[in-house]
Amino acid sequence: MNELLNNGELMHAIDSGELRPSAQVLALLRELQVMITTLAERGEPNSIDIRSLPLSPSDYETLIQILGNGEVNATINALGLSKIKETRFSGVWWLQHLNSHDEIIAELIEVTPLPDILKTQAPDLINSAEVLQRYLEKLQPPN
Amino acid sequence: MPDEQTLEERLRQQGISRRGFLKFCTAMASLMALPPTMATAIAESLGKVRRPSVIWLSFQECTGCTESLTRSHSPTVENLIFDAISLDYHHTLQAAAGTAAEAARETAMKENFGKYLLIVDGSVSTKDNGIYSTIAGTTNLQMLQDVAKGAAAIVAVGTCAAFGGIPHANPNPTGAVAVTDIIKDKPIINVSGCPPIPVVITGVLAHYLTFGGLPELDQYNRPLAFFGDSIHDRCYRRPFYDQGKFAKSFDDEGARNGWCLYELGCKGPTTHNACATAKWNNGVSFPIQSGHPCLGCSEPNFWDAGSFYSALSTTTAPLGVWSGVAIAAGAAAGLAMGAAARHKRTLAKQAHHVVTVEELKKKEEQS
Amino acid sequence: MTANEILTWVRGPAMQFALAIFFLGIVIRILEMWLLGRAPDLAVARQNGFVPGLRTVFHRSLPAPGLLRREPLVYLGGYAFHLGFFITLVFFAPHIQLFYGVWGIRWPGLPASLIDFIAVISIAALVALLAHRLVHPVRRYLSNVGDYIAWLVTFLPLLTGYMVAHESVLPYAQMLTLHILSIELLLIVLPFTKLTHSFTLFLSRWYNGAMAGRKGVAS
Repeated sequence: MNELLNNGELMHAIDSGELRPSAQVLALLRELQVMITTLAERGEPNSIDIRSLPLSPSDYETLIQILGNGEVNATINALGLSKIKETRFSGVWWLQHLNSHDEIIAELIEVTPLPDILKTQAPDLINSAEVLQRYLEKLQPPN
Repeated sequence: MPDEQTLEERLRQQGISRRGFLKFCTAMASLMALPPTMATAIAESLGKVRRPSVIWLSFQECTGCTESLTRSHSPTVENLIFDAISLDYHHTLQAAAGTAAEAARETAMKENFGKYLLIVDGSVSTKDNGIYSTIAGTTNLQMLQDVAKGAAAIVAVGTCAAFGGIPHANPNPTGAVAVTDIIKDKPIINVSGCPPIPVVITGVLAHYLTFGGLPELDQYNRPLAFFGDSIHDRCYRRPFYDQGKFAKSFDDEGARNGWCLYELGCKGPTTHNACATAKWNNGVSFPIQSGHPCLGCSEPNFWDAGSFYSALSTTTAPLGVWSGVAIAAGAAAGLAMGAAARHKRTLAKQAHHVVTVEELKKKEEQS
Repeated sequence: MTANEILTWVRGPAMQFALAIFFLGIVIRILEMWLLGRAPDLAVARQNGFVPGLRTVFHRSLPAPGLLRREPLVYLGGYAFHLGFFITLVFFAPHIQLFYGVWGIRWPGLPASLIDFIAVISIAALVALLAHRLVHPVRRYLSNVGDYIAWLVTFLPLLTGYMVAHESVLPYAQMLTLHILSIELLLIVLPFTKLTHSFTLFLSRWYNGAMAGRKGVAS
C-alpha cells in the first residue's frame, strides 16, 4: 500500500475526473457507509472479504486510493505478517494477512472500533502468565 | 496415522499462538466463502479436531489436480491443512513405493475402517473389467470399490473423478466413468475443474474438518459455496456483456479494452466455479482476466460441448448437409405433389361436361 | 443428461433436425403453389407487370384508408411486433454470432439495452393482439386452433429470449436451452401453418400487383 493520496489530493483527483470509480466500487462504498452508520448507532461491527468480490485490478486500486491511510498502522507477526491499518474513514480498517512467503492469504475490510486480531487472545494470555512464571522462577532462585 | 492430540494442542507445541491460529481461520473462512465473522467459530471447532486419516487414490488422470494442490501458493494454509489430516496414501507424493506403499494403504484402511476420508482424482476405467488402468496389478475399479467400503466420505477431485472428464470424452475408449457412477452408498463431494482451484480443494477439506460433514451441495454434488454462482455472474467483465460490448477477435479494440468474451466462445454463463473470485496463482488472475474465454472445465462433458471458440448462441453441429438433403427432398416431394395436382386438374378438365340449355329444360320438365 | 449436455444437444442435433424439417416443408409448399400454374393470359399486356407488382408490395404495406382509425391496435400492434421480432432476430449480437457461424458474414449489432426495449414492446404487442382476438366476438369466432398455435410459437422465442438475457426463473444454460427449443419449434411449425406467410406474403402481393399492372389497372 504505497503512494496513497492525502485528503486534498483525493478531492482533486475526483474533481478533475482522474479518479472514476466503477459501479462495483461505488456499490461497495455505499455498503461501507451503511456499515459505519450501523456501527455508530448500534455498535455492530461488520466485515467484507475482499476476495469474495468480483473486482477488477483497477477497481482494487481505486478502492485502496479512496480508502487511503488513517491514523493507525499495525503489523502482526504470527504465521507470517499481517498488515493492518485504519483507513481515512475512522472505524474502517484494511487487513492483509500474509503467509511466511509474504503472499496474501486473506484480505478484508472490517468496520469496527478495533479488529479482533489486534486484541490479545485469551489462550495466549494464559500461556503468557505461565511463561512469565517460568522466567520468574529462573530470575528468583529459591534461597 | 491419526493421533489423539487436537489440532490446537499440536499447533501450540509448534509455538503457534492463538492469534496466529485465528489468522489462519480467517483465511479458512475466506477459503470456504464464509463470512469473515465466522473465523472465531471456525477456530473453536477446528481447534478441537483430531487428525483424520486420508487416502488419496489417483486413477486415469494427468496429475494436474495434485499439481494444482501442491503448487498452490499459500504454503502456510496448505501445510496447516495437511497438519490437520494424516495423508496415509498418495502414490504420487509418498516416499514409499510398490509393496510398501500398498501396505501403508492396507494398514490405514484397517485401522480407520469407517472413519477415513477418501480422495479420488482421475476417472475409473470400466471397459473389459477396467484392465486399461491398474495400480500394483489391481484395476482402478476394484481398488475404488475396496477402499470406498470403509470411507466415511469421498471427495472426487477434478472433472475426471467428478464427471469422467477427458478420458470420458467421445469415443471414450476405456469406458471411463465418474466416481458417482460406481459408488452409490457413500456421501460424495465433487470438486470439479480441470484442474480444480487449489483453494477450493483445501476449502472443502477445511469444511469437512471444521464441521465434520459435507457442505451444502448442488445437483452435481458440488459444494455450493464455490459452485453456486456462474463464472458469468461473478465476472468483472459482466458490465460489458450487459452493455453489449464484445471482443470480436483476440486482438481487436474490444479485446484490448477488456470487453466481454462471449462472442469468442466464453462458456462463463453455463459454467459454475469460483475462478472469478478465488482466481489462480494466489489471486493473480484467471483465464478471462488474461483475455481467454472460459472453457467450462468444471462442467460435465465440457470436452464434447462444441468448439471452445464458438459462442454459446451458435450451433454445435454443421447444418449444411442436413439442410441440403432436406431442400433436395423438399424439391422432389414438391415436384411430385405439383405434378399430381396438375394431373388432377387435367382429369377434372376432361371430366368437364358441357351442359346445354335443352338439357336443363329437360331436367326441369322431368321434376 | 445434465443441463449443459441438453444444451449441447439442442444446439446441435435438434437444430439440424428442426432446420431440415423447415427447409423440407417450405420447399414443398412453395413448389406446390408455383407448379400449380395459372391459366395463360392471352390478352395483350398493357404494360410489364414487374414494376406495378413492386408498387403493390409497398402500397399494401401502408394502412388502407380508414383502417388505422378503425383498428389502431391491430394495425400498430401488428407492425410493432413484426418489426420488433425482425430487429431482435437480426440485430442482437449473439444472434449475429449465430449467422456468422453458419454463413461466415456478420454485421454491426444494436446495443443490448435497445434490443431489450424492442423485445418488451414486441412481447406487449403480441399479448395485446391475443387479448384483442379473445375479447372481440367476431375475431374469436373467426379464429381457429392454427391461429393460436401460430401465436404461441411466435411468442415463445421472444419471451424465452428475454428471459435468457435477464437470467430470470432458470439459470442461463436451462433458459438458453428453452429459448433454442422454442426457435426449433417455430422452425418445424412454420411451413405447415399460416406462418408460411413469412415467405408468401411479398410473393402474393407482387403477383396481385403484377396481374393488375398487366391489365393496366391500379392496385
